[in-house]
Amino acid sequence: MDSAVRAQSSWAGLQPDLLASIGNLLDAVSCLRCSAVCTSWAAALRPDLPPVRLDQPLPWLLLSAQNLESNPTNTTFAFYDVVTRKSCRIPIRALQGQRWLGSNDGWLVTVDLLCNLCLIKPLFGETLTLPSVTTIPLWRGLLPGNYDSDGNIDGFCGMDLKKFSRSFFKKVIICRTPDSESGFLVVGMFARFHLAVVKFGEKKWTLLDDLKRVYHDVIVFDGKLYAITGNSLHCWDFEGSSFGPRKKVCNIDRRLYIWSKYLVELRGELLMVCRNGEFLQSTVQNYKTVDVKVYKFNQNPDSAPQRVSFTLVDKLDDVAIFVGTSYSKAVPTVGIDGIKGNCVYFTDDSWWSFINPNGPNFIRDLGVFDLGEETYEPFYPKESLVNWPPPTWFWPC
Amino acid sequence: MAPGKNITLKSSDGEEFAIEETVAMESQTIRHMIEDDCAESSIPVPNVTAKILSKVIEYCKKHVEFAATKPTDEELKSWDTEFIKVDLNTLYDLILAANYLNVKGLLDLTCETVANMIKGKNPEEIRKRFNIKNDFTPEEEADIRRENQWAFE
Repeated sequence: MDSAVRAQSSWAGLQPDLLASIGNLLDAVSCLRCSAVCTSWAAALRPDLPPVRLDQPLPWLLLSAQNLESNPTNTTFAFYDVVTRKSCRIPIRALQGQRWLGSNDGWLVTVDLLCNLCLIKPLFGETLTLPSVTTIPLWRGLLPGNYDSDGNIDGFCGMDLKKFSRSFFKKVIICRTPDSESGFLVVGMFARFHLAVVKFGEKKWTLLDDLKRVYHDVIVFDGKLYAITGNSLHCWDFEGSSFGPRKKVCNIDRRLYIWSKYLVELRGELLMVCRNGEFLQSTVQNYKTVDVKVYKFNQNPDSAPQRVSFTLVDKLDDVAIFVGTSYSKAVPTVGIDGIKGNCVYFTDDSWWSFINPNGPNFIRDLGVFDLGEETYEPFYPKESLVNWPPPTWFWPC
Repeated sequence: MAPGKNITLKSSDGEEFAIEETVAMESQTIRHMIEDDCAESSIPVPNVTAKILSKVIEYCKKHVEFAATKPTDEELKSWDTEFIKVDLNTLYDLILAANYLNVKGLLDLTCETVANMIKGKNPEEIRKRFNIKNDFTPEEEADIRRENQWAFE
């Protein structure tokens, strides 16, 4: 038989189980491209992914098939779609040994068991290392790390790496991904007081504030970086390479100082989402969210900072807001069956659960809060997937 | 196991290869046959030609050696990389042979090689590389592209 002709028929006819073995070594996008090569490859290699709605990008819930600490070599994960309420298992080699912290526009920021931070684009298999947190000027009792003979961090002020890794990385937000023209911009809320930023091209983190405030969330709005604490809102100008000094935008009513706050942009306006919870007398669930309220900033450029007011938003027309450890976003829900407008979908981002991740039966505080009904409904995939790393929103694009 | 005990493998085109039992046992398929006492004087390997069988034997021999000499990861990888620099037809035959003979290391190596050839290519480039004919109807192809627009940029 002519070998060129034979070659033409053979690769298309490769056994499905062998094709599947090859597929397990590929990122999801490569598998998708393979499934467009020919019909037999499509049957064997099509990855199981929820739909990507380019114009109304809803996030998927990202879950791990195995506990990261007991199974650091696990490479099976699942994406849960809030609309179809279905879970798709998928191999992602790039995420092996990584604990995700949050996502934005197709990228995840992760930390590994040695406390190294990374940006990963899981569906494409791309990865990028960020400067080490040891480049952050550390004060207030946090001493610089100890190093082992390979130069890796070996512990921080007496805490072992595991404990340190769980409590130090409170929230890390990707404000700009590596795909953007000016390169990535990542802001981290570390330990209690450290708000630090790192940009493409930089070799170290820069503190944005002295260590007096506990920040809850950050957002890029109107060309500036905004960050919110329990009782105030601040912003920084940034043009090109440097950040301007911190400017206090306003105080926030102390009565609104509740468990956590998020900043979201909707139709050119800045919103603040406040989430309150209560502790439970239960061994499998420590706390749950009981109330969510959304406020709109009314900025009068002539007002003194003390005069900026907030109005309660009683209805989000056909919009669902997603908050948690990822970049907080509002998504229009018109025309999508299976998702409600005027709702806030949240994942568990409470600090208590990170410093003390409980056993496999521990129930995470994930759910959807209906702002109209003022009711909350937990949601969780029916299949028992583990709760460490805690599930988070993954923005696919 | 008697020292230097040999096993004879016979390829599909009738060629015989005498190899040490330890080398033959790198194939789980052959290992089971030996352990189950089904192995006669000469074990037929009907799906594998002499050309490919000799390549598989070369891999097995080297990896038995490696188990004794314990090379660095780099040395191992370097040898594997050189070994797998073969033409497309041979690569295909090696995958099938490694699968049939159940030689895990070789199967992993060949699959990884194919995966690396696929990464970063669009469907048309993949087809070209592997000489695959596009058997989708134009409508089917349009559907696939539309559903997964974000991945085909």
